[in-house]
Amino acid sequence: MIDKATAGWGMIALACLIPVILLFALGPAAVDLDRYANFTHVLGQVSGLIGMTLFSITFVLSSRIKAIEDIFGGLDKVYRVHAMTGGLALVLLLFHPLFLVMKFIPQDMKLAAIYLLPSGFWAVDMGMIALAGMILLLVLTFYSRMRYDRWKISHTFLGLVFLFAVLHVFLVRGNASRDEIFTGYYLYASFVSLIGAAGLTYTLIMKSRLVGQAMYRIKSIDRKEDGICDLIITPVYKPITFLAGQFIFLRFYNRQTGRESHPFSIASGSDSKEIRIIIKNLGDFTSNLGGLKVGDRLGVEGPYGRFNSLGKKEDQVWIAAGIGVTPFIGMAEDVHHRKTKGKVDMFYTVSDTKDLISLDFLKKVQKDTPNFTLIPWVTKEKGRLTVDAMMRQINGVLEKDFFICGPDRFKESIKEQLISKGILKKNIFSEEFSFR
Amino acid sequence: MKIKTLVTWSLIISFFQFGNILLFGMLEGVSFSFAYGAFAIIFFGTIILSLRSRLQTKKELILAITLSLLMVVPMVILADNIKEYNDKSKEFEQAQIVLESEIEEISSSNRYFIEYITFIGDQISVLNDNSKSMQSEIDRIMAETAAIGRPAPAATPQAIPTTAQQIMTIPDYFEEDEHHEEEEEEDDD
Repeated sequence: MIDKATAGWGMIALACLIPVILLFALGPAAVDLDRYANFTHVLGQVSGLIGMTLFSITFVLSSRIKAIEDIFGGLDKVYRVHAMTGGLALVLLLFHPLFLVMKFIPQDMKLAAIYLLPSGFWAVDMGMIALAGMILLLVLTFYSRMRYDRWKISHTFLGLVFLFAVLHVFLVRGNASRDEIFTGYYLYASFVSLIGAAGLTYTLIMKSRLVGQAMYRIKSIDRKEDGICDLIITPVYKPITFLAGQFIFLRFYNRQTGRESHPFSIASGSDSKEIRIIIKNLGDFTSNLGGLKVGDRLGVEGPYGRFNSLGKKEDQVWIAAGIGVTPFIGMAEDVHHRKTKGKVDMFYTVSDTKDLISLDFLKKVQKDTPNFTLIPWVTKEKGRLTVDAMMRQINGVLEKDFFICGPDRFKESIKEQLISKGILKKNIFSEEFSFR
Repeated sequence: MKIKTLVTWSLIISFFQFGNILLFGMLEGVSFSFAYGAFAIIFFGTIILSLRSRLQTKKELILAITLSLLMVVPMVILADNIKEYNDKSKEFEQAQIVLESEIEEISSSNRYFIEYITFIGDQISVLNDNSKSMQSEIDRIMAETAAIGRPAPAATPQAIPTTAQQIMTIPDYFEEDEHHEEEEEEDDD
C-alpha cells in the first residue's frame, strides 16, 4: 500500500508531468526531435515548465497547512520537501535558458551570448530578472549563515521573484518565442500562477488572520552557564493542545529578540497547561534571548510535527544527542504519568557530563518507572555512540521502534547503522531541526 | 544525493556554461561590458560556492574548477562538430534540391516524350485505318470491274487517269461534237 508521503510526491510529480504531456500531445514540440536544434529547444521548454510548476508548489508547501502536514508526516518533513522542490526548481530553471540557447551555438556563438543578455524584449528580460533573483535568494538560503530573521525576510522576496517569473510565463509566448508552446498553455500558466499566488497570499496575509496564535507569557526563566535557557510559559487565555514531542512556533514580543517566529520543541508532557521550552544558544537568534524577562508576552502557533510515541510499537528506543533531548523530556513525562506498558530505552549522548540537560528529572522517571531505562553516553569517556554499542545493552531490536533527535549528521549516521542492522525504515522516526 | 549538493553542482556547471557562452560570444564581437559580466559571474560564483558549499577542501575545489574548465573543451568540440555537420547537412539539402529539380525536369521531358510517342502511335493507327479502308475500296472497284466484263484497270495509280489527263482529252471530245453538228445541218437541208 502506498503511504501518504509517497502519494504526496506522486501528486507533485503528476503536476510536473501534466504540462510536459500537453507539450508533446498538443504542441509542435514533438516533431523532428532527432534534429539537434529542436531537441535542445524542447529540452529548454520542458525544464522551464517543470521548474515553474515546482516553484509554484514551494509556496503551497511553506504555508504550514495541516492537510499538507498530514500528507508528508509532519511539518519538518514538509519543509524538507519544500527545500527539495525549491532546489530542483532552481536547477531546472538554471538550465532552461542554457538549453534554449544551445540551438544557436553551432551556427553563431554571438547570437547565443546575446540571447542570454538583456535585450529589450520584456518577456525575456522578466525571466532573467526572476532567475537572477532566484539564484541570489536561494544561494543565501543554501550557503549563507545569516541570522534566521534576516534570512526569513530575504526569503519572502521570492514572492516578488515569482511575480516576475509569472509575467515571463504569460508574456513569452506572444512576444519572444513566436511559436506555439501548446494548446491550453495559458490555462496551464494561470493554474501555476494561481497555485503559487494562493500559497504566498495565505502565508503572508491570510494565515495570521485565519489560524491565529495563542497568547502566552513567560512564567520563569532559568539561564544556565552553558548557554541553555530553560523557559516555562503559561497561557494568558486559552492553552493549546499538543502531544509530547511536537514543536511550536514562538513569536516573542520583545524588541531585542525581534518579532519573527521561530520553531522550538516542546519539553512538556502531552496537554500540559504550561509549556516548557529549552533553548540552546547557537549563535543566531538564540543569542538575543538574554533580553527576555519574566512576564514577557509571546504568541504560540501550532503544535506541529508527528514526533511522538502514540500509535507506535510499545517497545521503543529513544536516541537523543545534545539539545535534541528536548522532545524526549516531554515524552518521558508522559511515560512517568501514564505508566505505559512498553519498554523504553533512552540513550542520551553529549560530549561532556555538564551538557546533560534535565538529568535529575530523567533519573527520577527511571526510578519511578521500571520499564524506562536511561543510558547517558558521554563521548569524552565512552567514545562515539554507535548502534553496535546500543545493541550490546538492549535486546530484540527488530521488535522496537526507534526515535532519533539531534544534529543532522548524527541522525543520518545512526539511521544508516540501524538500517544496516536490518531495522526497517518505517520503524525509524526522526525530527528535523533545520527549517532553512 | 542531497539537494544542496545537487544545487551546488548545478550552479557551478550552469555558471560556467553561462560564462563560456558569454566569453565565446565576446570573442565573436559581444561588447566588453557583457564579457565583464561573464567574468564576474564565473569569478564570484565559484568563490561563493566553494566557500559556502560542501566543496571546502582544496582537493574538492580544484576538482570542481578542473571539471568546469574541462567542460569548455567538449563544448567547443561539440560546437565544431555540430557546425560541420550542419554545414554538410546544408550542402546536402542544397544538392538534394538541385537533384530534385533535375529529376523534375527529366520527368517533365519524359512526359513530353511519352506524349509525343503516343501522338505518333495515334497517327500510325490513323494511317493504318486509312490504308485499310483504301485497300477495301480498291478491292470493291476491282470486283465491280470484273463483274461488267471489262478488264480490270491496273491497280496502279498510273492506270487511273488523272484530272490533268482528263482535261487533255477534252478538245478531241469537242472536235467529235463539231462533226456531229455539221452532219445535223446537212440533214436539215
